[in-house]
Amino acid sequence: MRHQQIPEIGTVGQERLANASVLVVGAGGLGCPALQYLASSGVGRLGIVDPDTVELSNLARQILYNESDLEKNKALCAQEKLKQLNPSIEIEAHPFALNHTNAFSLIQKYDLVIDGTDNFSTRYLISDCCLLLDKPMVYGGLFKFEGQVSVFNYQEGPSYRCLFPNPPNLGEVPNCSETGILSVAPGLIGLYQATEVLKIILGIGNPLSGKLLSIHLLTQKQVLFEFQKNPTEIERVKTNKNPLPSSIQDCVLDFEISLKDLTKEEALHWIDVRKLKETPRLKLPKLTEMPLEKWKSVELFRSDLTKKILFCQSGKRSKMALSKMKAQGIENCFCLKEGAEVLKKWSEEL
Amino acid sequence: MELKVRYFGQLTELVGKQEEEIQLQSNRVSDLKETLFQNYPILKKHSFQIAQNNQIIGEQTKLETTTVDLFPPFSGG
Repeated sequence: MRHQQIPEIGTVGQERLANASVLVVGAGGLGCPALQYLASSGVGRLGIVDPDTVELSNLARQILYNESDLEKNKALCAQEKLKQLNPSIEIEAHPFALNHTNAFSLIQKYDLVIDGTDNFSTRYLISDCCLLLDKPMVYGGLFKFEGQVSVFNYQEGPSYRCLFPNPPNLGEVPNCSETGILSVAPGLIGLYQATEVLKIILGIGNPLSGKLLSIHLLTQKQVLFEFQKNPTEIERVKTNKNPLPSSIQDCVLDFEISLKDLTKEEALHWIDVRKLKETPRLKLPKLTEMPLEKWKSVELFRSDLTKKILFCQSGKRSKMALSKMKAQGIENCFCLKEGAEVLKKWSEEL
Repeated sequence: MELKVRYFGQLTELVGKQEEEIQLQSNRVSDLKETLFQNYPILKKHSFQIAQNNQIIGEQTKLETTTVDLFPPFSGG
């Protein structure tokens, strides 16, 4: 391999790569190019986390996949492709979402993590786990023609929360599928992430710890922002010993429930978050009507151990309500995938 | 003081420009924020960092340069 001809790497460096393990969370626009180069560079063990399936709109930037892969799970599909690229390394597929019950044990098994996620809840979850487990997190962010790269928790350096202490509000920062993205942007940023990973494993150069590289592809201007560790933020996570509740603030996917997953026998506490004048009104055994815009406190739900299901007209407000509940640490609550109309029919059939 | 403000990411869309010159009464960061919030109330709902000389600064730092950069958190994917 040509790596070994570089004195800074040599056979020792190549061995380091072979003995290293990297978890890539998200095998999308950022994860695909990073994975390809990490595999071809001979990183000994790669883990891929992704619950999603390949869609046609992904193919322009998620270059591990082609049209015959549509509908396949991304983690499994990426594993298959990367095995062909480098059969001598271990590739582990985790075809499910990273969540607060599995994140700790999964991240623990790897030396460092690449954040290739498309949502803030998972990013904060990775960040908090990496901080608690003392693992570097290599971050990549995107907006249309722009990108950001940084390395967090590297040798006790700053964490993501030192830069942005709390996740943005739901809907405050759009993701790639909402704004659109220039196909090459995640490619470039993903490769910057892979570059940082190689530097960290090889112990060469200066990883972007305490620095945020900002790249604008239309002007090709790059700015390297520097930031400091914020001890208050680090302490906040460390004293909690677990990822902070805010890391699951908008992690609604795992908490979205469909009527077909529910049974008649189950004791349920329904919470209607629509305005009181919205129709149809529902009659359900245990129902609380609590319009979202009038929410002040969710304390009354804290001692209620029944499965709580939030619903609204379309499923949008119930997600917002769920993130409020989660942020306050209310357990066993879910939001309903279907709207009130469908729920009414379902309840009448019972 | 006169200050050039450069915007990054989604902020360019929220304020409708890449950069601009603004007038400030003082060299305080709080004054800069107040002016921006007055000009663009939507910014109040968005988190962003401010940097001068490529260093991210807090509320207490005095503005010493003629240019500051404002950037928001980016999503990924």
